[in-house]
Amino acid sequence: MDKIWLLARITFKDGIRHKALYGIAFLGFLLFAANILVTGMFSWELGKVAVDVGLSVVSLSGLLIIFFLSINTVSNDLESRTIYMILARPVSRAQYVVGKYLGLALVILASSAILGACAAGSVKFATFRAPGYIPIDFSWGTFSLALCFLTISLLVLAAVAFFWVSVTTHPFTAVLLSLFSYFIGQNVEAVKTMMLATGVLGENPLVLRAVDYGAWLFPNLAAFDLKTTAAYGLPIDAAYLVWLAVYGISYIGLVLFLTVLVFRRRELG
Amino acid sequence: MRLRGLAAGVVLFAVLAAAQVSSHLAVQDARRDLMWRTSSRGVHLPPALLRIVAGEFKGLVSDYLLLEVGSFLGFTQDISSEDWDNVVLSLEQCLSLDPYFQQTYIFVQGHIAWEAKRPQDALRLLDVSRRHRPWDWRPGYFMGFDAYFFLKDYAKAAEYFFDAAKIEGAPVLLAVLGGRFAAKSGRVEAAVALLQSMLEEVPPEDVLRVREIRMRMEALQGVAALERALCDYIAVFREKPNSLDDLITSGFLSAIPSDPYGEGYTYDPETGEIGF
Repeated sequence: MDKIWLLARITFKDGIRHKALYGIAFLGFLLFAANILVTGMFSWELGKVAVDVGLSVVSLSGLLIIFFLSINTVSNDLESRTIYMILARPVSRAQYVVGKYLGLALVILASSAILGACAAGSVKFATFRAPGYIPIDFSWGTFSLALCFLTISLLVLAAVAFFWVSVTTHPFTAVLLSLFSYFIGQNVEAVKTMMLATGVLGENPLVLRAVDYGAWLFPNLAAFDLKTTAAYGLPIDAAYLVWLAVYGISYIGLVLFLTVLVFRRRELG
Repeated sequence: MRLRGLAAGVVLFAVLAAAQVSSHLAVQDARRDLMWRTSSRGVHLPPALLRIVAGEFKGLVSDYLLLEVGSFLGFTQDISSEDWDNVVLSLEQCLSLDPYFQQTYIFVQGHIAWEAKRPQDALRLLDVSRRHRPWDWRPGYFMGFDAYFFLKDYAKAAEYFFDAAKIEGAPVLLAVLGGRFAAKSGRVEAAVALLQSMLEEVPPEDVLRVREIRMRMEALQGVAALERALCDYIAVFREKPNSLDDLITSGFLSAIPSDPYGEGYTYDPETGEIGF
């Protein structure tokens, strides 16, 4: 456990020193400033627009961290052979994978916490002049919940990206496969519902089964999207949230498990 | 030699800078009229498919589409029927991406119902907002208004107004309007029963609301009594009376019920319609 924690700490420190992170943070702050501008273009329920923009920026920044930072960090270890230095010490490949993931998860958590606070600030600021134009049931509790689940979805995607890095030999392929997984994860549920409701692609049982398998294999990232719920303060079932958290955490565990299995068999160098 | 190089560099920079400034101004000038969207063509995708494309940024895409629609409508004088088709599609997409947003239904009512004179489209889109915003009486109120004002469908108007009136915080006017249109559509008894059930839910300290509902109930009960007498009259004489007074002289009614609004009941001998 100490070794995993040590690796996580080193990865976290390495992550926050990465120049790409400063760029992402700068973009985030810039977009929050834009939030105030965008909100001013609407005349009803300004709070909803501010929450939309705020949480979308947190999500977008998290995705950039995963695609440009997380994947590069691991593939750099492999390409620059620094992984040998780590694995030459009494550190197993499983500890390496888990430690590395936890480190990057800490970077994502830190980014979500900082940008989430900025998002809340921008929502507060954008709606300051028009308190009457905030949706009536809006609450900071639901806003925080949405931020929490948004972060879990980023952590799930980071685990999937980790898996693709361990399977592929080139970081670009890993980025492409992670993007692919992200789009499937965001849409597989909607595609399935649309197919069943509208009969698109006919009643082909093979296609339906393929979509069904896809829904089991890829994470349902759309389920973690509570931005609309937060924007309007819509009621949400506590049991659903618990199941959603269990779903996310267990998915991360399973994917990391598979990543370790693949990584153990991988020939390095 | 160095001096020549420096001079060449300065000249090159000056030429490039001059080209940049003049081209910038020319482009800016040429695009001045295109600063705002002049085409109503938004994203031509079915709303369900757009939901898939938008992924987790549905709210943001919906906000963007709404701004596009707003800028088009705000800066275009002559809007063709094809343009309105595109605007309706864009608003449908907005509602598919975010069916809760208040600004969308305000746009629908202001532009689709009033400007485009497309009440059927407006009703279809407003219904999405009404179903998703059970706390908000306005979408139902707009639907009731459109059904009455544009479509002259009084039964539907009454239904929308009564549904909206049941929502907490709805103005009492909605129940009053619901009663009026229920009477116009010949559903007086149902309207009285509905107002009675609404009255039971209003706290007695809300004096104004209680008074308004009671007055409307009294007026509707008057209409119901007159209609019953009118039916009996027609059954006996096989024709409509010339005035409401004929109902008294022929003995079907002892007196004309009092109108709580003080204006007296109206009667159209051609249609047999009783109003207040």
